[in-house]
Amino acid sequence: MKNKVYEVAEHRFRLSAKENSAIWRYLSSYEPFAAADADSAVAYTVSLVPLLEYPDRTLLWSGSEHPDQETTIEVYRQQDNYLFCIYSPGSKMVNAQMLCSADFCTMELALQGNVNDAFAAFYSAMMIAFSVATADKGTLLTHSSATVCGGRAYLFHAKSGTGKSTHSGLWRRYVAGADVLNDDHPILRVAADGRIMVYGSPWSGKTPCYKNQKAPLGAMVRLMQAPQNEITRLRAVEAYASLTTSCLSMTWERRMKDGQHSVMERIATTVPCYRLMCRPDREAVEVCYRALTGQPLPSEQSAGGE
Amino acid sequence: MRIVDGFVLRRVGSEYIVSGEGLGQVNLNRMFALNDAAAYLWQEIEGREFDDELLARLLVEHYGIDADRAAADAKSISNEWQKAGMTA
Repeated sequence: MKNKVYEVAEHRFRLSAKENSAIWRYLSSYEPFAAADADSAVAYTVSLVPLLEYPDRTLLWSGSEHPDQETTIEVYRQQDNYLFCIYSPGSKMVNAQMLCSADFCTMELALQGNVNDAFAAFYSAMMIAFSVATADKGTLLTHSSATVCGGRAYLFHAKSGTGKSTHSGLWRRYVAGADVLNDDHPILRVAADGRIMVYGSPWSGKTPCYKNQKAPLGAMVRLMQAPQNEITRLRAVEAYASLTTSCLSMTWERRMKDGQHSVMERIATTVPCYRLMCRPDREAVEVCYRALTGQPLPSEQSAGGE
Repeated sequence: MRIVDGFVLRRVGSEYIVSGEGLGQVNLNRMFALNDAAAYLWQEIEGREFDDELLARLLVEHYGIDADRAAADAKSISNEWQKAGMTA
């Protein structure tokens, strides 16, 4: 067996598979997160194993990973373990089956199907493994886009297809020094000093952006398409409810939910949260930038990422 | 009546919400805001049988309001909970 240790949002996990497993060729997004020491202590281990049948399983839940995504997931109880079955979008077969120990420290993952479906399911399985193993450790995997500007991370979240990536792209275009930290699944953690830190992850959707970096959360912005640009500060409960729609919904165990709640409550009550009704244009960035930083967007700036 | 399994009261800053948690009959993405009186009642009747009379009695004891007003408030709160599927 070959082992690699990765560190994401300061949580370490091990991936274990046969030396000749095809999976090792598909891990370029994990490379920035590789830990130098492959024998160091980890929070959990994911081992690639052959597909097994578990006849003694009971269905607990079936649905989507996020409220707005097409990947279908089934959760079963199997003795003391949890069994996750993941169907990639449009797939009729289980593409990933992951058996998690009751303490979420050991995950056995089997993949099947064509390369695209199997890899998409691996991507989801790795996020589920991370989420369930770290949910009670003040950590929240979000479905959002994180842009760093002036040393702070701004989180844009919305229903799929609303234009998270488009809006963060506009920041790169119109705001000098703005850069995307992660475009799909940044991770939030409560730091020792109570601040919320945003971390990059190996999971960045269609945008290849796998940065092992962090920045304090400056604000969170819910995007909605509208004919004009308008920003509104959200009350804590509104911010909380809004954030719920962008987090993993499979945290059914009380201790996971308690952990997730503590991070979400901390964000909703200490970080400015907004709703931005917007068009995909420069004025949307101006309106948002002014609310988030208290400064007008400097004119004649067209520097940035791309 | 009882609170349906999986609905949990949580505090967000100075406000309260009830969210559907856990697997089973609960829709995981529903969330309701509760005012202070409703949140107080929820904590009192969590894990046990209740009816409108008990809610009204709790309101009288806690807020010192008169019985008629308490009965009306209790009825409207329990109707809302039932409509939302949080109690049955």
